[in-house]
Amino acid sequence: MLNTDEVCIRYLMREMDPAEEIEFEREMVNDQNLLIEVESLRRTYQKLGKLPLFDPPKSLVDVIKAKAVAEQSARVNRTKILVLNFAKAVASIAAALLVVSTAYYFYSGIDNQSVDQIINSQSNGIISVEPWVDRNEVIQFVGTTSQQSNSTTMDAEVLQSFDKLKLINSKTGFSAPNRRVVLTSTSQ
Amino acid sequence: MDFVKRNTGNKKYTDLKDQDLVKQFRRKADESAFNELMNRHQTKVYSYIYSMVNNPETANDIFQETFTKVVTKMDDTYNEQGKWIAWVMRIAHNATIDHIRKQKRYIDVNSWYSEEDSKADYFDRLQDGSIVDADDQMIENETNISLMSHITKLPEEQRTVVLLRHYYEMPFKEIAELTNVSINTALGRMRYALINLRKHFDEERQQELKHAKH
Repeated sequence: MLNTDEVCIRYLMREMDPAEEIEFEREMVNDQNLLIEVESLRRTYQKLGKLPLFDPPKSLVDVIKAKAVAEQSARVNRTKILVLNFAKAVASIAAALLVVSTAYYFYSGIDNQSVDQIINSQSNGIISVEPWVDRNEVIQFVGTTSQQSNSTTMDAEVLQSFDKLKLINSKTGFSAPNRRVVLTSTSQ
Repeated sequence: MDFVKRNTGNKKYTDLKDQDLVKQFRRKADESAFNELMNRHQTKVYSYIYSMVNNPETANDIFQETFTKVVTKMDDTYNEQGKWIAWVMRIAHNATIDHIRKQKRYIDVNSWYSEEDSKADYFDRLQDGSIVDADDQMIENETNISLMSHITKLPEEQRTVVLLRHYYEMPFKEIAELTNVSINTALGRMRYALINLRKHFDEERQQELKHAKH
């Protein structure tokens, strides 16, 4: 059973699907009162079709248009400025990063350069020996690689180190366990 | 964006859809796009407001308030997927109802409409060019005034449904959403509005018959 209160309005406003429409029309055929009610409402609704349209005053419309365009222009400009400032900030950060990274590159380049210089100087036969002690307390010599292991400077250094050794005079005397500094060069 | 560019490049503004015009206006503050939107909808929006409040000054204020809100809120609350005019109508409806509710505290709604006083404004605002003959125009205008007076006598909820349906052919689903009621309630309001109008038309006809007899 259809609820005539709302369904007849849906029928009049053509908001029914075709199946519902057919069912409602069948119902109207069987119910004369419903048919009269629907026709009466339809006639009233048709009178509403004469409701007039009203134009707003032109001056008012012009004011609204001008104001709207001005406001939206201001908003678009504000957005542009924001985007521009953001782009500037990003560019500044990028520039700063570039400067820092360039500076770092040059700084580390100098270090690398000094190492390169050492290597180059070694290859040219000029040896600067820098002794250091590893964690096994073994003296190592930077630059005294196998290539230059027989160089005179290194030999002199080694010989000098021998001067520090003391000879044992007493052959029978007790001597401390062999605790001596082992002089060596790099293993390479 | 490319779509809009393509469209505006090849088509006139009159050929563009509302959504594309809104995009143009939002992104470039395009005056022509906004003009086209106004040209399309201003009469219906104004007619709805005017029919609801039946006072030209108030209608002007609400109309201006509506479009001020439209421009202010367009970037924040309008979803470009939805119908622009439905969104505008929601703003217009809310502004109108706010005004009516404020006024209700002081004035009886049915007393706003004075036929004699409002005739001049009414004629000023009627759309031009629809009526040619002076006698026909007179009859037409009297019918319209009578119709408007009956509409004004309807309770606010019923009047809203009738006018939204008439000026926008809005589906009842949308009317229900706009007025925050169920579809059945909206349909029921329409039905009661038609019943009330029928009653007013009958009373008017009987009065006319009485005058004719005298």
